[in-house]
Amino acid sequence: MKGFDANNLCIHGGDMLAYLYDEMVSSDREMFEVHLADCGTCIDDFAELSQSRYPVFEWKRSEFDPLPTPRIVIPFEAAVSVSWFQHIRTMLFVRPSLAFGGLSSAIVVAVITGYFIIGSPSRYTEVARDAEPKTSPSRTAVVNPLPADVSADQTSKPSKVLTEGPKATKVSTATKPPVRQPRARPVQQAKRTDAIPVMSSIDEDEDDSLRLADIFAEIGTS
Amino acid sequence: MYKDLADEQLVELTSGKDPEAFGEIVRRWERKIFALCFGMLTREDEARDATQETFIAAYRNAARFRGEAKVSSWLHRIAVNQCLTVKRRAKSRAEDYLDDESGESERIFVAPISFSPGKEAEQSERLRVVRQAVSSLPVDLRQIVVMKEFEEMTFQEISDTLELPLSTVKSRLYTALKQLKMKLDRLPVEVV
Repeated sequence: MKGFDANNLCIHGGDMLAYLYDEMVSSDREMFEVHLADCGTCIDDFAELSQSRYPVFEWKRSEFDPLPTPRIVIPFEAAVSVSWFQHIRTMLFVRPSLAFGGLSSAIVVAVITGYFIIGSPSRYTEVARDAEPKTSPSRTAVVNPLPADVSADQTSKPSKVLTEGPKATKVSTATKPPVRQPRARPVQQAKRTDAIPVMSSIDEDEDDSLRLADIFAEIGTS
Repeated sequence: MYKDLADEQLVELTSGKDPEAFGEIVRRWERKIFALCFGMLTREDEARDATQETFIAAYRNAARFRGEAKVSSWLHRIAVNQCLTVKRRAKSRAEDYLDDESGESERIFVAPISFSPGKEAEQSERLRVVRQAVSSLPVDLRQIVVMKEFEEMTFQEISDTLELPLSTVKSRLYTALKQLKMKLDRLPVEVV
């Protein structure tokens, strides 16, 4: 306590407040009073502190002491306002089974979603691979059409012509201007000549008018 | 049943949703907290409101009380914060009022002559000056003056409550009283 008063250089200056507020044990108090009677510095200090303390004491006595203690009303129901976050937290902590269930569901949903997202390209690739041969018949019909002036024997057996591959090509190249060769394997194409053409298998760069003409020609001959 | 329990135990029961336990806390501390609020705010109505708000805030936050500090420290801290909030609000209201009624608000601080015959008026004026002087002290000094004079706490209790060394408490009170003396000398009591 000593040292907080720069003006009071007396070694007993630190005991001043304890004396002023009557917080000294009686033996210390008597000793301090003996000192106070002889020390001018402490007397001045004590007087100054008393002068500033008294108005506060007077203020308290006249204005605060007569006041009744206010009646504190705690609205117990309304006082507990729990935030939504706290609510969720409490719910999860109170019911660990619910928390576990929620977590498991989230994991399952994540796995399923992940399977669909990651697994989908390979699936599409497989579908595309399956679909590729289906394009052959239509392509065969377009690329390797039967000319109108071909003999009835040849036109009545289109599958045979196609199965013979190179021969048929020879015939067609002799009668028609050169056309694009099918990319599909000839054997497979021959097997699926009776398959229904699929719209998705039509290439955009193919000449539709030519194909329609061939189809009409084919209908006319059969 | 609750009278034998320590403050910390009562707060623990309160956090377990026992309103009766908190009722005991209120009964133990309401006068002291009211004194603190009155000393800090110097107005009865504001002090009542701040006391009420202090206990409501304490009840709301009872679950967060970890027992690291004393209940008295916790309550005093809430009360001081409430007082500062009330003061800020009042200041902002006064500024709004000043903006609206430029200069006219000064009149409300001057007691009408008819209401101050002789000694009563002098006393009233002196108390006004003291209130003004205490209010103008820095918060940390004012808090200790109020705890000492209004709550009548010992130095040791203040030290425990504010979690400050005993020497700091005494030093602050000493400084506060010195500053108060200077302020009171500068603000002479005007006898109307």
